[in-house]
Amino acid sequence: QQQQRVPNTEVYLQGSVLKPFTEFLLTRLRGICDSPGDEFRDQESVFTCARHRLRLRWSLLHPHLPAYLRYLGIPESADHRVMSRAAYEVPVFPLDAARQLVEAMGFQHEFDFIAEGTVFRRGLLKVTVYRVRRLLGAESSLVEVSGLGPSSLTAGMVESVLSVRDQLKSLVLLAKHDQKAPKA
Amino acid sequence: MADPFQHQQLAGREGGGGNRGSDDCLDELIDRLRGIRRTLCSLIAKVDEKRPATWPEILNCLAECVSQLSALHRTLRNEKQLRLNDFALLPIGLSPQLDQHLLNHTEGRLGLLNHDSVPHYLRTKLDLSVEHRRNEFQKSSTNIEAQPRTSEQMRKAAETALNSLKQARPDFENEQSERNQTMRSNEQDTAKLLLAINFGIGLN
Repeated sequence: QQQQRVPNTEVYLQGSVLKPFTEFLLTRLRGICDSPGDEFRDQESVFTCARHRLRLRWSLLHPHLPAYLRYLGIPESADHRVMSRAAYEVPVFPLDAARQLVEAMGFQHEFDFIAEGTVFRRGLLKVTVYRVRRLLGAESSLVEVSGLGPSSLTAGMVESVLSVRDQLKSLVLLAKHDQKAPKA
Repeated sequence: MADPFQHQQLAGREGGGGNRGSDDCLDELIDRLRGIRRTLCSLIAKVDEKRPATWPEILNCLAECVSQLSALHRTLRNEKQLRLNDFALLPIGLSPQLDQHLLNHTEGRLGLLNHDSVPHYLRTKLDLSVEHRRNEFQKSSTNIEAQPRTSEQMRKAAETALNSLKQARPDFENEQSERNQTMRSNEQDTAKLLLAINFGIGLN
């Protein structure tokens, strides 16, 4: 029973929008979402251990907020219309202790990136439009529509994700992107 | 548009300041109305500009209005602490003098709370002429419904139109999305961004 309440499943779709059209997309999102959109600039450290990854993410704009430690499972497409994956998210504080904990668990730091953009909320869903800093040659913003919740709510969230996709169809193509790790 | 400040002003006079819950609730309503006014102002500004606004801009503006209005509607409906319908508003002090305080609160729209203005602000029924026109419209609409043959024909025509639209829709959507997507997004960029956030490839 407890298991049914823990938010452990994430359903999502991704796409990207070229720089000149980002403002169109943001205006449309302001229209269809509950919140007017919040700016964010987050840094994310990724740690790895035997093909598992842990992601530690914290806000650079609001350093007093707790960081988030996330585990993301392997993407699968049980529902053929959206991607889904297991996802666990816990707030951790302070940051240094979290980093030490992750390293003590045997994870090694792999890479860091900074994401900068806007986040919107619509019901249980989160819509993010952001650029990845220090990435050469990509002038686009990544667009992500995702819902994280207990598996009992997954069916409803799939429908909402699809409805957002349809409403944004003329501006951005949100699709399933199942990326495999390139072989080294 | 009804003035939110007037409401608060009168409620304040009537309830001697009102209680906390209703104040919060009114504050929220005022916030929402302000948001709507801001959007409408920007819409008007866009329409008035010398360079005509493009359709997407206006549609976006309207979409924003709709979402704000429905949010307002939701708040009004789900009001748990305060039911505005149950409130009686009584203007206690009418004065023919210019009221600076009121003027400030209404941003210069209303300076006098006198026998002329109060009936307009406390109106719960429609203006007589408006009500008359509404009745006329209702009458003419019942006339239309009373003619089953016409409505049947209308229905058939609408259905035919709907069917042809439905048939054309997939083609149109495909064409549209292909045309838009080639312009507005770049598959390679999507892949690059995802590689970067998933596996850290391409970051310097």
